[in-house]
Amino acid sequence: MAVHSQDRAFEELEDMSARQQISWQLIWEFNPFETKIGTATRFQWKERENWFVLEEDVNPEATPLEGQFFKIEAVEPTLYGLPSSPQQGVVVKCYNLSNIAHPTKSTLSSGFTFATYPCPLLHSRTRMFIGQPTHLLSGLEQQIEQFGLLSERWSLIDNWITLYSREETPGAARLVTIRTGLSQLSVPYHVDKGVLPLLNESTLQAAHIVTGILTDEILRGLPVRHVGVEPLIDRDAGQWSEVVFIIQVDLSSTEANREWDNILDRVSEVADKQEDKEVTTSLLEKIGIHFAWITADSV
Amino acid sequence: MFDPREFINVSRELSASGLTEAKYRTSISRALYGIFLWAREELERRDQHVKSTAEGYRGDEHSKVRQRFKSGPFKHGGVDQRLGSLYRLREKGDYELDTTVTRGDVLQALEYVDYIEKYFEKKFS
Repeated sequence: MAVHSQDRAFEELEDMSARQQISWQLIWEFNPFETKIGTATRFQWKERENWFVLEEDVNPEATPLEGQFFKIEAVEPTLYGLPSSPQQGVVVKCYNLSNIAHPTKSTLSSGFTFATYPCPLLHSRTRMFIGQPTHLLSGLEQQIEQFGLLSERWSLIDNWITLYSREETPGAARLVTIRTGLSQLSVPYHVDKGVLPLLNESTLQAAHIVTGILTDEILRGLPVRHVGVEPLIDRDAGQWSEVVFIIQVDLSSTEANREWDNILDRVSEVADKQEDKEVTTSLLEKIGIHFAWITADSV
Repeated sequence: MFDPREFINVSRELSASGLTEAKYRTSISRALYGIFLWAREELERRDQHVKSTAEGYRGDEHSKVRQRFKSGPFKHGGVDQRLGSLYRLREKGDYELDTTVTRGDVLQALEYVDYIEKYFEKKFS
């Protein structure tokens, strides 16, 4: 009986393997939920109001997962449970794309998976997730549907980054607001779609760092009226280009200059500590941080 | 030798209220070039090789000047970013005909200039 059960499970797994040919290179925004990620956490997908989410045990040292973004690299079928009654499941390998606390390439490139069952750790950030594959897949599809920006065209792409450089669509701009963390800002913002050709992985990470610092300053009371993200291109000689944050503040000239320098200092500190030199270069050379304030004429 | 800071004086003259948009656009452009040329001359004088006229140092002078404030002995993020802000306003003034350049833009540009001027006077005096 147990053998039959196992055979059937493996047959189904073969079917799953065929589906695996699809490159699950997805980015999606998790539905807001209370979950955290940490070395001692255990995750599982749960259906909640037609929404599949990752849930886990509460770990006081964990980092909030809400609002973070992940790239699914692969969905692999697997078996779990007792050999006498195996259950089919999947292992989801994904990258955390928005871990601002560890924005290094090593972190971003170290895939980790999630588990609902204890499993050997491949390394400190590795967990295995095992769940019902049909539910998981349908869950992903639901998420794709629910996020208009993740159209079918978006979801099955070989290299999502290249899309940034090729398409200047509202969906792409929306995705940039998510990746850069702008969508989490508590103040009005606008992303000019002209920045899309200027973005790559390192500039996105750099922009995310800037947004994180800006968010922190706003929480501390920096009176920001609006944040615009625009391209700045050398139209004379075509020698350089930048993605520029234009931060409009309700401050006097003296105060604005002081706050501006404060943010630049903070960005410089982060750049100095960066392990990923491409991100450092992006922070220092590819990202502009401009302040604008109320001048005498505009009072 | 012409002193590029005279461009900044012209920029300030063209920041008076009630002038035409063309003058405001010109004001921003002169503000940028006044600062840029001042920086270029001072950096060149200090062997930073930012002029493209010298043999073996071809290339865009604007990007070279900005680069000197991004790293090296003259690194200063505040100056670099304010130069960038000036470039942004100057691009608006010199290239973008669909948008309106206001006196507020001019005054903002001159506030960037004020900051950079203070640094230059301290650093290059």
